[in-house]
Amino acid sequence: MNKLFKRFWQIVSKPSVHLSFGFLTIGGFLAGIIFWGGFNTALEVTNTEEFCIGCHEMSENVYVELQETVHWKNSSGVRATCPDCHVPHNWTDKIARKMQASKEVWGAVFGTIDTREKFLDKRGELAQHEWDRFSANNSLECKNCHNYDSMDFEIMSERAQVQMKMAAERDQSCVDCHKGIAHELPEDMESGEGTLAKLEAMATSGYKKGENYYSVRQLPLFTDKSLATEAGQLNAATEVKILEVSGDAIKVEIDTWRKTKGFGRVMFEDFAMNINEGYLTKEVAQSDQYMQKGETKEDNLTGLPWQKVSLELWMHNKSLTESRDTLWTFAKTTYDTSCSVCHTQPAEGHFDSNTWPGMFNGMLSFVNLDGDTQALVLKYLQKHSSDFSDEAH
Amino acid sequence: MDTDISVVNESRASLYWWFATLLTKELDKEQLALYFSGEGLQLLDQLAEEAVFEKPVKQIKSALLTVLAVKQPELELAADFSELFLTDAKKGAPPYASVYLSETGQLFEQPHHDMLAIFKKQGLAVDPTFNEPADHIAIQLDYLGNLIIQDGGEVSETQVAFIEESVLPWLGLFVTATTKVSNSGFYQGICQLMQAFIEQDIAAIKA
Amino acid sequence: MSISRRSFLKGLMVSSTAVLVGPGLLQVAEAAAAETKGTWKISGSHWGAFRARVYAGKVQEIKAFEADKYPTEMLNGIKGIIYSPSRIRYPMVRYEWYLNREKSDTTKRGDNRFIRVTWDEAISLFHAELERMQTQYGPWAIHAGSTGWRSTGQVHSCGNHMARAIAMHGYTVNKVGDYSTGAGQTIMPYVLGTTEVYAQGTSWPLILKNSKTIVLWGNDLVKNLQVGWNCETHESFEYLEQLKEKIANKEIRVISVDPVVTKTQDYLNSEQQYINPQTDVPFMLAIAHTLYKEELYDKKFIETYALGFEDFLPYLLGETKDKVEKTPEWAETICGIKADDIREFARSIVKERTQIMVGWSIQRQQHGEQPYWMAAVLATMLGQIGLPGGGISYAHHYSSVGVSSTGAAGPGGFPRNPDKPQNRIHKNQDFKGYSSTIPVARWIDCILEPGKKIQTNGATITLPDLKMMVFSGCNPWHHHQDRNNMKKAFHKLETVVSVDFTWTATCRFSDIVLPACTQWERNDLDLYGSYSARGIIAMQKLVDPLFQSKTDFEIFTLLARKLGQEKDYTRGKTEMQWVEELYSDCVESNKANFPMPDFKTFWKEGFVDFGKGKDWTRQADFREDPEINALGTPSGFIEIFSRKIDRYGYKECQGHPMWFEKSERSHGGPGSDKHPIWLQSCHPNKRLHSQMCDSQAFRETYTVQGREPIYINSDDAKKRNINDGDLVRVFNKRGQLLAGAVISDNFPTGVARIEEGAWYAPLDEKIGSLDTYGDPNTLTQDIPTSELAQATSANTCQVQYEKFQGQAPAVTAFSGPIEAS
Repeated sequence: MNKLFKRFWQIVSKPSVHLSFGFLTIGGFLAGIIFWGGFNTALEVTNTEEFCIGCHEMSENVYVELQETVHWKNSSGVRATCPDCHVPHNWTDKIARKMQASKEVWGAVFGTIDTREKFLDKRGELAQHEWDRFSANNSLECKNCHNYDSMDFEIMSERAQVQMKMAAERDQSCVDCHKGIAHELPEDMESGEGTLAKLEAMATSGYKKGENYYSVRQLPLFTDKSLATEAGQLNAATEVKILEVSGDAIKVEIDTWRKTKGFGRVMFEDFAMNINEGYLTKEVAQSDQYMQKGETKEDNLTGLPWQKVSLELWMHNKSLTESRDTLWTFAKTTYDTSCSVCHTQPAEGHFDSNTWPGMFNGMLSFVNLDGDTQALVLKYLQKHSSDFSDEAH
Repeated sequence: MDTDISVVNESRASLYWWFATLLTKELDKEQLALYFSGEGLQLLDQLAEEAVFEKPVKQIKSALLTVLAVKQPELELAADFSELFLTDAKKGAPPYASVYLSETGQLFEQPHHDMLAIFKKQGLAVDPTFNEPADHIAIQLDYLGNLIIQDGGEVSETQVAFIEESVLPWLGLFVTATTKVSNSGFYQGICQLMQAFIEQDIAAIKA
Repeated sequence: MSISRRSFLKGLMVSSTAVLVGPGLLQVAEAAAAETKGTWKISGSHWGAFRARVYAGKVQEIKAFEADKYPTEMLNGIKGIIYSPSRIRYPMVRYEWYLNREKSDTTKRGDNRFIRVTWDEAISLFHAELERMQTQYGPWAIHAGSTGWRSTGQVHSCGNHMARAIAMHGYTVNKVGDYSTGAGQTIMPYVLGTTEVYAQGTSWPLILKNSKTIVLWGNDLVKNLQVGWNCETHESFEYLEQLKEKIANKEIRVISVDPVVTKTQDYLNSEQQYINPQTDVPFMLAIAHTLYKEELYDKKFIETYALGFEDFLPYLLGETKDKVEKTPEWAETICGIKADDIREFARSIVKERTQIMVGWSIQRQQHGEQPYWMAAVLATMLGQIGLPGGGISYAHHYSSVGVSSTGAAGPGGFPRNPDKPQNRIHKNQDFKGYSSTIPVARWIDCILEPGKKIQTNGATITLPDLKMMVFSGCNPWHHHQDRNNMKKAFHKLETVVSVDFTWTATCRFSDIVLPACTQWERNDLDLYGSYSARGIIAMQKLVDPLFQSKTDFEIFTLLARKLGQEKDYTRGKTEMQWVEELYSDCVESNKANFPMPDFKTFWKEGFVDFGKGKDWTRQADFREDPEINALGTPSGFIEIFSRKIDRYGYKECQGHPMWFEKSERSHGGPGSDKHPIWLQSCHPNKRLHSQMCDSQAFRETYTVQGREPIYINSDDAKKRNINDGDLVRVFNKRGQLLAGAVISDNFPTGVARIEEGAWYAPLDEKIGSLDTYGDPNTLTQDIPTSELAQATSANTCQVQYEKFQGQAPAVTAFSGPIEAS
């Protein structure tokens, strides 16, 4: 009987032990309100360039750098002042920004960036702050002057057209791509964040004449050493041979194939394989000045004539790497994670290199990859397709 | 307090709990052994001394003999249990009042909510590890056992009302549903025994 | 009241009951907040987003999400899914299998007793079988790659969970393709450079503005746009409403090329071009012939953008082997459209801007690659590809394709691949010469004919000798063809494991059945609008998992624990931490363009809206610059003739689109003498495939005497003395089923429809037994489309039907595991 009673008592005598959680940090919340009130009154005073460069941290660092850029001196005679870009034009945002800036003022008072060295050390963090803000407001301050709707794509270079149209379509934040346009970039970072930075991080430096390298991402090509006239774009993971190193510019040789139906603008890695190496402007593609033409063959599988060409063009002295291995590792990881959200992603060797572009395009609706990564992943898939591996179906 | 009644109540409660146990889950090997030669068999024999319980006990025993013939009788009975109580109304006899008393014949209908309301009033809840609708027969019987023990030396109105309003309206329908399934017949026997017991119990209270 | 007279208990030794009584079932309740009428929560589904009132632990009421202006009535079926009598309540194991394992009597599958086991034991059994397969056979013996439409929610996506956990154990056979679009997604990359069937299409506003004619080719938009792959927004219906108005104002002409009057046609009040079933290609060829002969086609477009027209012409003109010129007169005899009407049709679509929208059902037939290819050739001849409101699309009926994309990133998913593949328990990758990847629809062939070599998409594969199948949220006993053939195959399998929340036929034919909870018994999040990416929807758990069911996340975490890799599986995160992480990643991806609130705010509000996207024209970039924006075809151009396919040397899919006679065809075609009725098994109107068939009250809104409806023509019915509401027996040499007659002259003579997804409910496990509910795949044939795609051919199916006489057996589906006794 004991057992039965125990069972009963289990039910009626079990104490209810539910205690509520403690309060939230009310103290912190109150402090915020007090701070807000105090800062509000000083708002209008700080809203001038004079105020900004009133401390030497600003006048000796970023202000000097600005004077080297197109936002200081240009053909139109319009100059951007500090608050044009850095104090939000929207009033409520303005207050939020000021509150953030107070940290920098605070920094000046306590001397954390009182020398150039200390400033440079801190630059990454400070810049990141601003980039985050631009990112959050979709580069609102830039767009007060530079509006997608008012851009005339026709008068842009071909490469700019491609990029800007893409950006305009998505109403992309300007600073996504145009970091370092008014001040120097933090030392340890060539450009941007996210994927672009990851790709750039794979680049090496000190390229040697006569050696071969691969592009870490899509890169602009030029016809001249001064890098003034656009010649086209090199695709990611594309091999070039260094012919000449001249300061910030390098002259490269690109051995490639192209289809001669049309203008012959698109470069391919090998005969009859649609592995993209980039494209040329119509002028360059149609001119004999930059290329040596080699053999011509018809691709039996499409009936299209292909021509081997060797191009000599200029590009920036950066963003190249010795081997594609690290690029492939990055591409594989991206493919394995991004492309398996909907389904088991097909093995690389499941398709041949000319089938992959069609299959890959079909997947793109559902993944969020930027243009550089898309190009790289596709090339990775093609270079590891059934054309290059013995793996069974 | 009537100590006699209190003793009887203890007996009643333990029998209700016994039925609840049998209808909660399958018997394991050790538990089943008690019905071949042990307290289980003893209890059955005792119950059979009452004329009204004789027939169902006979059926239970003959079912036990049947399953004794297979290698793993506990599994055979587990399959019977599943066939009867773990399938839907079309194939078996789901042990939920909602199936028999609601218009839709589905689970979680009004009887389930009625039970929840009762438990809420009493500050009780179904053990989450036995995650079943509150109108499961075993939960009702378990609750009834508790009511009886709580009554100590009396039989309260609450107890009687619960049997009459919550259990009896569907008991017969449920037990009849078990008879359409043909297997060893063990659980059908248990259910008939349970029905006879409850009917006798309430008749005795009312008498 | 006294009970002392209660004689019947006298002498009873109740002490003996002490050992017989188990632990109690009740406990003292935690003090709960007082509920008045309950709480409103938000969630999503393939049928759209909704708010649900939850009271006393039960979903009481469901109403469409306010942003959904065109909710589907299928929301009424949601509650019935949660509280369905078909719910799997406990882990169950087939009794006979439990006793004898791989030596069990497999002919009894589908008619067997099950026993309940604990989760512990169920997972141990599952694990032991995987282990046995890997050690006794090898990776080729397990197929754990078949997946279906799952439930929505990105954290719990069931296929991902199954794939990740099983891959942590070892390699298995996988599949390529799917049942919906197998032929289309294989042929189109050769022709237009991408799968097309899953591609965003030209935005509706541009179509409404520019199209003069819209051709719906076997395409029922209104029916199919009710559901979406992710949470559906139903934004397309706004445009369909505008289209209806434009049709009424005679601004746009919509022609539905279809043997039946579709729901769309009824809704739009538009025109129909009747065509005999399965004869789209002859009609298309004759249109091409007319365009060519009357020089109406766009020569310049073909020259600039396409290859191989000259290689196709000889066939069109009857100069190849068959010596048949594809004239309208030739086509008339096959497709049933008068030659002059064909010519008129050709002239009318070339005259002004024409948008062709092709549905998917015409590629789910034998040689299903051909109508897709030929339609692309027609569109190329019209020369409007890449123009707003012109050209061709293959997906405007799917998941709101045509609603412009915002460009926002959706939430990712629970990772499908193991984080540390090197830690896989079984590293054996030796498939013993069998192929590790098979075309999805050929798995039954693998079981029946292991070792057989078949051609597929340019490769030769060897069918693996499958011994064990694992399914999760996947019901092949609905989507695969020819049930009786499947029964035969299942006799050969040693072990079948299913994870699901409802007793599908697949579960009934399994050995180990694990109860998942429904998507409304867990926390998750989803993209709102598969293609439009309109927003993110929170999927707040409405009620706790019923009975012993668990989330997919929990189930496969248990398996991973068995492998000693729980941490690697979950990354040490809980369900809610995963939801938050997927959300945060999404915030990160969108931060430049779509600011999103923090997670807490999102979860409370339940929704983030990205607004409307910009209008967009499919293939406009290709039209603008075919060189840089080349298509993904081998040549980069539209391939009217594919040398690549030609090289494969296939008989049933050659270098250019062709007409091939079908193995079965109505209206005088093969097999129509004995079985004169063409059975169409298209996507259902009131279900998502087989999902929601178990929702009892909602099912009863369309069943006839409790059976799946068969839609039949009145003359056909009269001939057979069948009245509306009668039960009919539908049969052919492959099987037989019962269905309830719905007589409708939307269906021409010689045509009947039973919508796919009707649950299979065989009278018993025997081969050939009557299906008591009406699953059309009891009758369809399991043959490939061709050597190219090896896809399903469900719509190549002839049947006969008769009035059912006598006592109809009860429907065996929609209940637990036990079939017949």
